[in-house]
Amino acid sequence: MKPILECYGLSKTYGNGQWALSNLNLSLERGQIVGLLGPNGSGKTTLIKLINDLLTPTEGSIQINGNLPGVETKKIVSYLPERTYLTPSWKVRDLIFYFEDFYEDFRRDRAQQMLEALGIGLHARLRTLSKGTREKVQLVMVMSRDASLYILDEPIGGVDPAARDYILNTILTNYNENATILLSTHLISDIENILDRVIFLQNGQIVLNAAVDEVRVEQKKSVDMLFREVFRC
Amino acid sequence: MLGKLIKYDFKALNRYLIAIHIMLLITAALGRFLFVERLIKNSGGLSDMGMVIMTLLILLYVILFMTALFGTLLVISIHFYKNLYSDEGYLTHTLPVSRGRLLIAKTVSGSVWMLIDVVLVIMSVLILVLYQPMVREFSAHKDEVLIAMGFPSTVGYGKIISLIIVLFVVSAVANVMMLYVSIAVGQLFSNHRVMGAIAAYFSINTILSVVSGVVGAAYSVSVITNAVDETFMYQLYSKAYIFGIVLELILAVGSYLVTYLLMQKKLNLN
Repeated sequence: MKPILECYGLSKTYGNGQWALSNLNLSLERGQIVGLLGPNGSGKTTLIKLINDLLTPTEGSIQINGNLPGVETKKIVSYLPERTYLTPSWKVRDLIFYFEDFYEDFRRDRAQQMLEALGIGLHARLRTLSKGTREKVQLVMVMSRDASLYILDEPIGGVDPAARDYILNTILTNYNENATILLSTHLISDIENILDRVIFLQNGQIVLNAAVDEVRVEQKKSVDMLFREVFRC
Repeated sequence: MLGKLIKYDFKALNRYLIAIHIMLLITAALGRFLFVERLIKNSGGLSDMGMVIMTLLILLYVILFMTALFGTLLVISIHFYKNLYSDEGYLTHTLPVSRGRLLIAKTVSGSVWMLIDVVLVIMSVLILVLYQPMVREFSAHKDEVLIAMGFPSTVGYGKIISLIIVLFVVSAVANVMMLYVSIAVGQLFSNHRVMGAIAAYFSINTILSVVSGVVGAAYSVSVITNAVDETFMYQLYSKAYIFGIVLELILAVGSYLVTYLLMQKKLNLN
């Protein structure tokens, strides 16, 4: 089987002379939870947006399951952006219909079950929900797909610790073992225990790509400690 | 998938446009039954209060008329921009559908609403002012009206109306595509993308006015100076019509292709 994600010489500049990503090479195997970590402006979101076909690479290319980003890859990638993409006038159930209409791998029963557990009514209008609740709704939608690659950009940034636990639990219980989760966050200590691998990104380049166990055994440090050391200001 | 995309685009546009157009028609109907009917039956029969209300109603009608005309353009543009290039674009562009289909769905929904808008605006004017004697008068002299406008007697109303409908359809598509291409061009700027879109829209409009003005004037002069008989007005209409349709078609197809290429090759969501 091909790796789920491959990047070759990937570079991106926004035309201001600075490179958000520069000559990045990466290959991700299936069936793991990968933490994409790095300080602000290190290129995490740029990489994620390139994988999701929301940006055009300046140089290099990406393959997901052997395909360039496009219709085929969008069928198997479930993406949670760092911002809210919801239409405020919609009700929660409109969003469920929308996902059901477009994604064959969407599981409505799973979504409804999670929304119920979080106390979010299907008839609630998205505009009336708090920012944190909207983030939860979005995460529920994304995790209710049977995707091969989940890409979660700051999935737990804006939610309270109790919901954070529920969400992390949700991620763990819902992802099938052949799927890969690529997750970017600043809150390393909260998610460290669920990660199989970490990628450290700095100035648009990978400075570390290692299994979490390796970090612990070889460096005798937690990922959080290593992060603080590598990115010390 | 295309059908579903069109369904959701209509859903978004209907939200505002149905309300605006219903209000326009209701105001026209109110104006008709409260005042125009009375004026027809009994001229000068309105009290001072009646005159004030009528003035306000006419003002409301004019405002709604303008809102329908420009609001439709605005609502279609805002939907295109929001759905593809703002935060909503993060969902739209990660749906498993091609960019081409996204654009076709928006072209269909936008053009259909532009046409509905034209039809309903015309209908509102007719509701307001069309009355029996006017229709009777027109029916009695309809052939003379055509001749007075310079049409030969062989051209019937059927042909003229069909040609006008074709023109409406083509220009609805062309207008929508011009909005879309302007927004897509605006996205090439790293900042001030909305301003970029507005600048692109006015630039395209200016170029079009210059081209159609210069070519139109040259055409008219050549037709009039070479006129050999009474049909020169008709020749002028025909030439202007063909020129207009061709220009609109070029505009529509060109804008569509440029928008598509920009979406395909230059998408960079902020």
